[in-house]
Amino acid sequence: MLQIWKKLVRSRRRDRLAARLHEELQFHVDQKIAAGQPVAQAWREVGNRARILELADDVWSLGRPEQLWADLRYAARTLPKSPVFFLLAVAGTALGVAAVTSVFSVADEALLRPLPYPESNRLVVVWDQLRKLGLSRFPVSNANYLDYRAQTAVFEDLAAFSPRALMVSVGDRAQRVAGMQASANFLPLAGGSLELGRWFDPPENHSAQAHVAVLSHEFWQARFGGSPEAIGATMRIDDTPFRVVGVLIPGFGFRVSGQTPDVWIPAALDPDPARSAGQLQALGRLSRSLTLAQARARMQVVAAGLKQRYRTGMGPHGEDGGYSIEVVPLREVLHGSTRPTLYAMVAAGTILLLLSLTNTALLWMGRTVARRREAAVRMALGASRLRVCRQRFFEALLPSLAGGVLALAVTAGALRLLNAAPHQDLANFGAFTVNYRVFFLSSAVILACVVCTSLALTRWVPLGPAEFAGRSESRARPVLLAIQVGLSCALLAPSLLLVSSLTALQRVDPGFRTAGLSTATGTLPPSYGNAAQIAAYYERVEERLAERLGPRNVTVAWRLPLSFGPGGDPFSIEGRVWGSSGAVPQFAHHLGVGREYFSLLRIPILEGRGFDPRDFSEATGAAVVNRTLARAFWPHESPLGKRIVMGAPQPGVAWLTIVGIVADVHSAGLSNPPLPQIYRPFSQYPARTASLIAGGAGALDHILAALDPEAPAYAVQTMEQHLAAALDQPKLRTTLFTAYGLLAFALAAFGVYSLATYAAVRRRREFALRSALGATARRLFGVMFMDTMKPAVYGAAGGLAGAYWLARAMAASLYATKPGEPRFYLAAGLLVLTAAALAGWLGGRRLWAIAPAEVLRCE
Amino acid sequence: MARTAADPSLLPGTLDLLILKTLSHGPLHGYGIAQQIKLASDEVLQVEEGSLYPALQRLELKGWIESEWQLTPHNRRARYYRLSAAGLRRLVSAEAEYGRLADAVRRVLLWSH
Repeated sequence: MLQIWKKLVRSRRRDRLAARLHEELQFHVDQKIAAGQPVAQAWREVGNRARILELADDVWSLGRPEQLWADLRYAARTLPKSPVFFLLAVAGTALGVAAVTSVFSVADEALLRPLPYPESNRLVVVWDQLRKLGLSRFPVSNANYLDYRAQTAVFEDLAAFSPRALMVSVGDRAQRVAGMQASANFLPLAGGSLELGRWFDPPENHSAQAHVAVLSHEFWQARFGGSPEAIGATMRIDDTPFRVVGVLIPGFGFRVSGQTPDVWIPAALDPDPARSAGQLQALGRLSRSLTLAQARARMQVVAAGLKQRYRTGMGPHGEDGGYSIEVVPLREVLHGSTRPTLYAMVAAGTILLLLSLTNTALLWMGRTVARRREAAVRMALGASRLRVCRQRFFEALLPSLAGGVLALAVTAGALRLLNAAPHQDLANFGAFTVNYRVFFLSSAVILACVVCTSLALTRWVPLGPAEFAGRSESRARPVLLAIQVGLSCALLAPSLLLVSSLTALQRVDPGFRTAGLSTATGTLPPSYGNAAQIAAYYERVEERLAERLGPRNVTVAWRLPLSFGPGGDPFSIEGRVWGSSGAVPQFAHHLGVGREYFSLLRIPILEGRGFDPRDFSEATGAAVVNRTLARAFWPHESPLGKRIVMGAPQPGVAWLTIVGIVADVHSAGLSNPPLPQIYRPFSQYPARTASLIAGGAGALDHILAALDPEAPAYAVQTMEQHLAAALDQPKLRTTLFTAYGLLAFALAAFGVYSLATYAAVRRRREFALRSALGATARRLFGVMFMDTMKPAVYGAAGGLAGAYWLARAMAASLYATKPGEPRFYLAAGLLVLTAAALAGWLGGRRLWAIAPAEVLRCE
Repeated sequence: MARTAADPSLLPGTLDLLILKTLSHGPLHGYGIAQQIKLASDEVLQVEEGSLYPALQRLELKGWIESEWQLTPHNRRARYYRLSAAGLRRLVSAEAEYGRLADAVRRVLLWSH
């Protein structure tokens, strides 16, 4: 190695060497002539000067180009002769590089790369909290926002934003788009700029008439064809004319809600005395002189002041909701929930790379050992060590290059799939692209590993007799074996956990019927001015559908099951102090539902009654609650006849009387337990945005036909699709991780097999001797078995510890499965050890069936 | 490990050993080395003079010998070779190795008689 280095750095010039040799030889011959030899004889005895120069030059050269080319051709010729080896080498490289590149391409975007806003580390999002009610992040009211904004010592500036879906019509076509309400200082604060026109002026946040809109570059291209005449054009947003005043530069997206906003409109920031009901989120730029902790502390003080002054977050009887202010870095808001999963995936990718590294090394070790004789023969015939090494290098280079190219294709494909897959987890990111730095780095690491392995083994080649006599077992073998087994255990156990979690999730009974039902959601334009008009509209739609599909086959609801957030709305119970019901926060999901809701969705009525027609036509104040609510707040009595109200009981409030209890439905996703729920008759509490649910033949088409064309439908799907969507995310996560786990398992099995084969080649002589001295096949099997299993068990133990660490990082995404459940670790350990035993047996079986005479004669 | 592919009449490594041994008595130029070997072996060992120079290059690359231009007593410029510390160590071990090999050969020859 040192000599090769010397050759590289000192690379003696051929012409200088020639001059030196020329002079030395001349001197040599002159000396001979001086000693009395004839000139011709003197030269003849020295030999051919050109040949001497050639030989001397060879000593110093790394090889001549024609040799290089010959070696390359040699490698290209020999590799296809062992196609299995070639394919394994390519696949090993491709696997490791692809695994690590794809994971890091995602992780780099999510964990490392700065957000696309200037000085994004100082950007924070500000929320209100009611800690005692378990509400850690909820929107800020206008009044609070204005107070927070006045804290100029904490925030350089504080802007308001609020994501909101908007119904936008340009020309005749109405379309539901992702919209964003924002304050005038938002764009300068977030560091965005405009391609055309202007952004909002501060007064536009304070007058009801400011009907101006700014478009995203993409929306402008799609709907206005990129025409500059868009500025000043009018479009209808939620049935109100808005004037387009600006277009943002391409790529400015503020994906807090998982979608890039297409249309921006001014947020209404008129001061409103109601401090508890907020709509806004606040984006702040922290003052340079403050750390996050300091800013948090200062805002706590602000919150305490406001609480004292305005009784913020206090109940009607002085109950303390635990009002405070939460300051969270923007990065945390955007990517925080994804981080544990990503770290787990990064660990998985790294493990796969390590496995494929050790595997590739083993593959080459096996090949080099198998071809030792060939190398020895060639060196005996005069090939230099350098030459043999160089051929090894080219042999290693070709499959590594092929593997790299394959890995690049696989990674690009995987990322394209990931970009297309439904993933709320990653929805706050843009599209992922291949990270070439990671790609080249991981490829280089694998190549280096391959080259080092094959070169290191070439060193042993020319030792001659000592080598052929069979050397003692390599010390690297048990370590490599333990690593392989350990790494695969570390991935396999969490995979099993995830699979179990997904299976449990798939078995969860959502609590409602999905078969044969279809649904669509619409939002009515403001031309339906009041509640009565809205109620009448949905009544008409229900009637029209009932005519076609049958009266019991259609219903309306504020929202579909599974589509609620994890929170809820506060409610009060007559005669009880708010929050006094114990540990359970007094929150419930509440929704208005149509006449047939319970029967159509097959939600059984457990006690009392469902709604009757009178509840829909008159203000009877009837409410139905679910079993969870009944159990939580009336554990020892029946809630029937009890009275509740949403929010705080203001004087003269219309109380709702509980008339029935229905079974639980998973309202906020399958993994959350059923939460307290309050149902009210839809026509008494109509909502502008509502979902229609219908059964029967062609239900979906009928729904679409029955809706007002002014309120185009979205989320058009069967209920089964709606249910399946709730599983998308855990499915994606499980599929990815399990794929990694299985790959690791396969790699480790192969690695153990390679090690056993390798050992079989190296220990043939030893086993032949033992066998000749009377060891039985059974005994030899035992030796071999223990040699494999001992390091495997140690490796498995270490790997399972790592697996527990990984599983704990993923605990948040596990359902009904604890990260510490021993059976998964036991199963993973057994699986891997069984595979190791089997692979060890397959690889080593030729050893104990050895014919001693044959082996010993061979050598 | 040294091979003398260019000189099959000698045992492998012998030429290197001879050169190192010769230089252990003091710096010499190529011609001098060839002469010394011839003289010391009573002209039994004839070094093929052409193969001497590539061998010198090889030993230099390995760091066993060093070389520089010097003037001969007759004021002629010549390349003088000198044994390095590493070369001396190598010589010691190579001599031992060679001794063992020669012993083994002799034993084999005696035994077969």
